[in-house]
Amino acid sequence: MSKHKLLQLFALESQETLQQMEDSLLQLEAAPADKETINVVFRAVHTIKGSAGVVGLNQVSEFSHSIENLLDKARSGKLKITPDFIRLLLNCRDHIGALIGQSTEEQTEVDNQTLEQRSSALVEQLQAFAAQQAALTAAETQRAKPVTQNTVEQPPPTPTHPTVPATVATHPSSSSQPPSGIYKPSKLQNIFLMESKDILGRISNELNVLANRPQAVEALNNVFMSMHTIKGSSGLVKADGIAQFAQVCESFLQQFRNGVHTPDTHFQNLMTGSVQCLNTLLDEVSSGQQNPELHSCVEQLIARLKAYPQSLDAPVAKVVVPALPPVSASDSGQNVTRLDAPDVSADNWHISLRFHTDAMRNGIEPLATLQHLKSLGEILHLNTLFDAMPPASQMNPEHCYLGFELEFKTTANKAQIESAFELVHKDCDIRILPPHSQLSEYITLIQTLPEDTLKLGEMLIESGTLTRRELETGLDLQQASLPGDDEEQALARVEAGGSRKIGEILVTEGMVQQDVVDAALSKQQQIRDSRARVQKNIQVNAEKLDKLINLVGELVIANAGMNLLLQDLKEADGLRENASLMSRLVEDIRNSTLSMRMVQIGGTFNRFRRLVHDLSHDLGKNIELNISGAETELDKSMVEKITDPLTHLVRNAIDHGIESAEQRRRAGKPENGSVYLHAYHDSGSIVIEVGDDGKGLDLQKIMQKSIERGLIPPGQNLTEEDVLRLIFEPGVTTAERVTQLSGRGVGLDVVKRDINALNGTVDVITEPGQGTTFQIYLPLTLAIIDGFLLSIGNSSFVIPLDRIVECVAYETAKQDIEQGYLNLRGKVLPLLHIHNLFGIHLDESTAATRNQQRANIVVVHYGNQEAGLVVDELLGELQAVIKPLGRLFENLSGVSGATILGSGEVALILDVPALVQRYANQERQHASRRTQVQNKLQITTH
Amino acid sequence: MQLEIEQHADHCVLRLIGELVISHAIELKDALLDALNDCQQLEIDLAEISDLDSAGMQLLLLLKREALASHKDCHLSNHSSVVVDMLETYQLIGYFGDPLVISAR
Repeated sequence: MSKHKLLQLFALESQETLQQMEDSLLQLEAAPADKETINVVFRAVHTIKGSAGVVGLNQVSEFSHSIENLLDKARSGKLKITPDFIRLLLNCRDHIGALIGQSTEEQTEVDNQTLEQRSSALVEQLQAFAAQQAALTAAETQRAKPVTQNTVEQPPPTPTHPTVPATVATHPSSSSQPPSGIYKPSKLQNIFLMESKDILGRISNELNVLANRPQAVEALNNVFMSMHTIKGSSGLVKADGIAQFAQVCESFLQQFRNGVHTPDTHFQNLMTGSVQCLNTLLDEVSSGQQNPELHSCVEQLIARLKAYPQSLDAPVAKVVVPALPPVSASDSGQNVTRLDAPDVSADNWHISLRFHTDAMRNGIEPLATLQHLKSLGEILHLNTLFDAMPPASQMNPEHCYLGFELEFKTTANKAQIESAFELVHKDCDIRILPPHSQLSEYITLIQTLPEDTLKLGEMLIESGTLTRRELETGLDLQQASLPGDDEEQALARVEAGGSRKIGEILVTEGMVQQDVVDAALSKQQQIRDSRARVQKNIQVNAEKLDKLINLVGELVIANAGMNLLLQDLKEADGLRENASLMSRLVEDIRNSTLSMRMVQIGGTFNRFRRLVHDLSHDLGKNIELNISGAETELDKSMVEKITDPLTHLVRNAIDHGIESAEQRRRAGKPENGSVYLHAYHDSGSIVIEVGDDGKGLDLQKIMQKSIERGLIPPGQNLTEEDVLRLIFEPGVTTAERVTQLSGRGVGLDVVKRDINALNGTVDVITEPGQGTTFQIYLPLTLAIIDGFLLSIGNSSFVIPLDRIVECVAYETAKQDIEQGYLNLRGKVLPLLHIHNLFGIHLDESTAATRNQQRANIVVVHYGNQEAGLVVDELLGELQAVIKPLGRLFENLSGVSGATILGSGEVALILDVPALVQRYANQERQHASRRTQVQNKLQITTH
Repeated sequence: MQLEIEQHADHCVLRLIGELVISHAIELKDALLDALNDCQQLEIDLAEISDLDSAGMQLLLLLKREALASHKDCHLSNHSSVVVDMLETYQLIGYFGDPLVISAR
């Protein structure tokens, strides 16, 4: 492969990677604690670094490396992820894009030096940020004692749950860490480090399995093989210390594989210690620092490993590994710290009970409930509450006013605990909050859930955080505002972001903790993303696909021809049966082939998240982007062409549409503005809406501007629709000043032109003070359509089936055909005479038939407009393979293509939108001519 | 359920005998409140309580609360074993603040 090709391939690949990085960064801003997202970003940068190195883009590779360093710190919890940090990273991402673009497209306009300067500027910013963060953490470490309970970094506690302690992973060492960039591990070392960290993570997992099932031979073998791999690869990169240590571990493990010993607590202790040691040793390699304390620890451990099982005499001492330099918190660290975690008193379940007033009358004895609970565990502390008891005069001694808050110690899970309240749940409000240690477990569980559910509630239940009954209560609460929904719908609506979120309800009701919900939410996002990714992954050469579609088209035609021949054949039932089966198969093939060209619009929509994020930040407005209908499919070629117009419209919405927070407050609207992108199918068209909840368009101002620009004469009465149409004219703007984003009056005309080029139309709906919506109608450009065949004179025409409303027989006796309109059940429709339009000569017999008897009218629609087409014969449905008309006929209006019929005849496909619009234009011209005439009359009479 | 009131010079003793449970709760509430009303210092003798439920406990809580609110003295004495069990389970011993004789069970 030539270097140029390689570069192109790289550019293509990194585009995707960068997009992924951007998506994840934006996600990260919403959920800064999500380890997995940080990892995705990290991997993205890492991939780019690696591939850039391979194709020889050293600049890119070096720059990515500095980002990677910083991200690694963020990954291990040493750097806090702040909005500033994310903004910086987004800038870096753009810069990488620019660097790659510059080197692959050989752009000359961007000066190489400028880019280099920018590189170093960004690297400096990164380092400054790291230093600042390090200073901050140092200050924090001094203030607060590090919490060693677990190393999972959790988001700051929410005000609703002040009981959740902030177990921020603080490493006492992070302050003493010198700024990065002094020592750089080689590329080979980097690969080794990455790989080994992964392997150690796997070992930890297997060790967990072994802890539960010491007989699990497979797990033991996996641990052994993994250790063996580390030994081998560490030798390769000359990390002798690691190799030596891994070898000792390996022979230690060998004893267990041979069945000499079975894994016990000593084994667990030694192995988890070893894993931690190895992790620390790896960190040493990556930072290039020597740590004498660590080495003495390693030696001790080696001695103990070698001495096994003699070392059994020693007490089961925990393995203490110096935390210098910090252990990667991602996988292995957790187990180790868990081992050491003391049994703190806070580590208990918290249960709140509030009995309903009728409880005792219903035969409930709270005491018995508590006794029953005791069978599951130990009530460490109980607080009896009776402040609900009214003053003596109103107190009904048969009512229950009791409530309890209790600390409960148990090994049972939430569902089991809840079952203790089985009998009373109707008469009692029950809230069961898991202990804090359980929290991190829940979060881990949620993260490892299989990706088959998208429902938040289900996820929480599966991890054991929530019980089904609690979910039902939560859903009931949610439905209280919107009655008449079942669970599925409610959940579905919540997914769409419709009403109050179930997570929010569950947290405010005290059923689950915010942290767990956060974890579940980010998992949900992750599932969505991965689904989107899977859809993206299949890449087929567009040319090949087009060829296939062409072939299928030919097949459809051939099939139609065969069916035609078959009609003349007598006594061929078997053949006919086969033929109809084949027709069905051909249709299926056609449908699935066409769907291959279709892509979901979601990918395009998601790109706007970044745009909205950046612009709203620049403009100091708080704007949310709501996306719906992301799964709507449209032709791939169209997706590419629709991005520009959409960008324009989204920008406009943000800049002009949404008011400043101040103005919004005054107008009594929520301070956060929202922009939404919505897509859906509407009878043969795809509708994409770009809307905002801003101030709406000022019709007066548009009029005024249009008059200034001479587009309309002053004093003309225009309908609202007409005025709105003016904003698509060049030079019309409602902005008072030109900003860097928009306001020059160039834009909407371009948008309209772009969309028209796609055979689409764009409309605008506006409501003063409520917002503006742009509706883009695009045709489903399919190569094969379901059509309706008809004839006018001697020519055949095809109308796309989904444009047809109905066919009516039109009695010429009743109405004059030249009248130009038709009264259809009280509705007045314009009549279009296709033969006049296309200059088709009607031979005498046809004309005579028309005059004497009746003509057929096909009622078609486009958008909300309907019209009747006068035709001669209705020939029935067919599958029409659209053949483009070729250059010569490109500008022909009223015809969108041609198709070949089974008989070999050519039929033109009528372009219904164009026909309907042509009529509408005629009408408008008539109307304006009339008003002009009136104006003139007025002038002359004066 | 029986109620006996003994008037002493500086305090009265209310002796509750039998079941302090929900079925007697309504009648007991008034009787207990009346007793508290009539004296400045009330001692409730629980030696003969054979059964106690949460409704009964609620009444004792009510009485104690009212006494505290009107700055009267109200305490429980001679707790029977059922009473002790209940107070222990509900961890209310501290609230009543009365000395308990713990039987050697």
